[in-house]
Amino acid sequence: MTGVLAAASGLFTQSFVTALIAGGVLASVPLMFTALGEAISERSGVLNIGLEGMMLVGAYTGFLGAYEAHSMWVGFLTGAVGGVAAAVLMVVLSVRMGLDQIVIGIAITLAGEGITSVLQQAQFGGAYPRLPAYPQVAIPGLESIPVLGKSLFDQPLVVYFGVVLVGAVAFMFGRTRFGLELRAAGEKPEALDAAGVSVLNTRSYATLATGALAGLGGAYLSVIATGTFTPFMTQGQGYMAIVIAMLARGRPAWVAVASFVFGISLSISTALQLTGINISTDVINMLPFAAIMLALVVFARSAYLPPALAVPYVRGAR
Amino acid sequence: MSAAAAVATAGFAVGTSSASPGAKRSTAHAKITKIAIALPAKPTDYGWNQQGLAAAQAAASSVGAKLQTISNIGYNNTQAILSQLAQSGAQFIIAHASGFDTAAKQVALRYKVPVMTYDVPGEDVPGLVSSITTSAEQGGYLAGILAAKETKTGTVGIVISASDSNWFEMSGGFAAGVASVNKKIKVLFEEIGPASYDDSAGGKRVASTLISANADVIFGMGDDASFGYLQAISTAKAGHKVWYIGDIGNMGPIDKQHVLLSSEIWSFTKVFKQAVADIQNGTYGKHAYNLTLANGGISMLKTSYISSAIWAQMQAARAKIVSGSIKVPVALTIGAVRKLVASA
Repeated sequence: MTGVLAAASGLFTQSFVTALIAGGVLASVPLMFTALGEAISERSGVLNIGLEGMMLVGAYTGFLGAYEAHSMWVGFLTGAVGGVAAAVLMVVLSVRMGLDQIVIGIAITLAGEGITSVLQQAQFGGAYPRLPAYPQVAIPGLESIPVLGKSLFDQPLVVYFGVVLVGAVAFMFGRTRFGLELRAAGEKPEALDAAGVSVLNTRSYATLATGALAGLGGAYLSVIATGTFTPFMTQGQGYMAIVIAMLARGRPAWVAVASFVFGISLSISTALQLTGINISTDVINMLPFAAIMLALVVFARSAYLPPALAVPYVRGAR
Repeated sequence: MSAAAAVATAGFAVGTSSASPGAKRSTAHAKITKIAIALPAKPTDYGWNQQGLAAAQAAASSVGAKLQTISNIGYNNTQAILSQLAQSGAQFIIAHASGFDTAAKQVALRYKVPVMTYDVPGEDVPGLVSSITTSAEQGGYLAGILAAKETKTGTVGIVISASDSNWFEMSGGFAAGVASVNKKIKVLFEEIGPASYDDSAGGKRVASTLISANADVIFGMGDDASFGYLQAISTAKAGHKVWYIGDIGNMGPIDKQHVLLSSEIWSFTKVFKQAVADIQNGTYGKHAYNLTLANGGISMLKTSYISSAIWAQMQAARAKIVSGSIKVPVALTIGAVRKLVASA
């Protein structure tokens, strides 16, 4: 134990802790974008199991855009477009045609995995090109805060955009007519229909927004977090985003917090290994998932899911 | 030998009276005209799959045989795919993943087609099943010497993407190699996850953590996770040079930032050629195969970034390992790796 503490004291320098927190942010941002999208979708009554596939499509198209245009912004744009393209399937098959949302979601994930893998091979063969490290933007004043400054307030611009987006979605949910319609589509779709608003259109817009955000999350993963695209690179993050969105009960601020907790847990698990602590890495690597499960247990009673979630809307059906 | 294996062996020895689909095919002493290889992932990974395919191509061309390649098959439909290869007329199937072992053995016994498996030397069946093991720790030891000689910060790192016995061996050898040069050098060890072979984002995150902990030479093992290591090292803002030592294949062609110091190369070519010869001679399955420094199955990649003096020291250590005067410890578990790292 003494040895571990000694190792830890030597290891936890300011620059190391800064890198650790920055690593947590890096891991949490794709989750935040994607889970935010899922929150929008779930609020409207669409359970989007296909996030993993949408993220992968976004990761591929995002990487392709950034690589070809030499611009991360083009990458984010093409990533979002890729996610929307994948979401169109969900809109047509589940929202419009009323097919089972879970089945279609799984199909989108499987298709996303296969298509991106094939496209990557066809486009790049064995080349695996990589992107440069894109510039980060420091927030004057805040970036000089010890430890936290460099790790939290010296990020790629898209991270700040993500934080602003969290606020914008919260505002949209709570203060706009569209937000009200969105919630009504998930809670009492027949009432929304009776008010003369198309439930299907509302859910379609929500699903497309989910696709755009999942695509953006995937693009962040390939363009910023990794700098390259490799098949299956999302490694289940789409599913994690679904859990986070449910845990957050559709509240954007909680989505951001839960994503950050997950990311930081990943970083802590890395740090624990470096201290040489004699615990199985299997146990250490369970930390992020344990954190999420613990939060689920604690908050499960107050968890709220829209009554019409995953239920296709058919006018006049009981 | 298990009862099943004995029955299979007897069946093989007495000929082909079984009613199984492949039973009419004779395997011993026949000229090999068709070889098949099944790869778990794409052969463009600069690692395990690419090296396997290259070796299979070399082995096939050496005897004028046709090579049938099935790649990116994953692990959930192995038996069906290997059966199809057996029924397609392949006279030797390389089931190129230890995760294929069980299915490969079953296919070999059913269709009487010689199959190559990995890391299960005790499971050999004469004429049908043999296995390749690796003395991966030997290359790891040389990589450790190289890292110890090149480090400027006095800290080196190891990152593996999964709980894989070969990577434990390499990691343990690396720690021992570092210690053989300078016991004061700190060795840091990280595993991305129990099976995060393709987690490139995780690879970048963990390699970045090692760099932030002052490691300036990183020995990285992982399939697609290796692309994450390479990216982390290529884009590191450490204020000093950070080097990467890879594994199994050569990532040199995609190393645009010139950070690849070396790589522990695995070559299956001689083993596959020997296996083909053994099948034709009727001696297949009577012994296992091993990749070592001595037989050229394991070697270190010489890049222009390694000075002649350091390379000479590595070669001297290699000679001692081959002669047996250096005994490289073999770590088969993560606990054993941690012990070696702690004692380094």
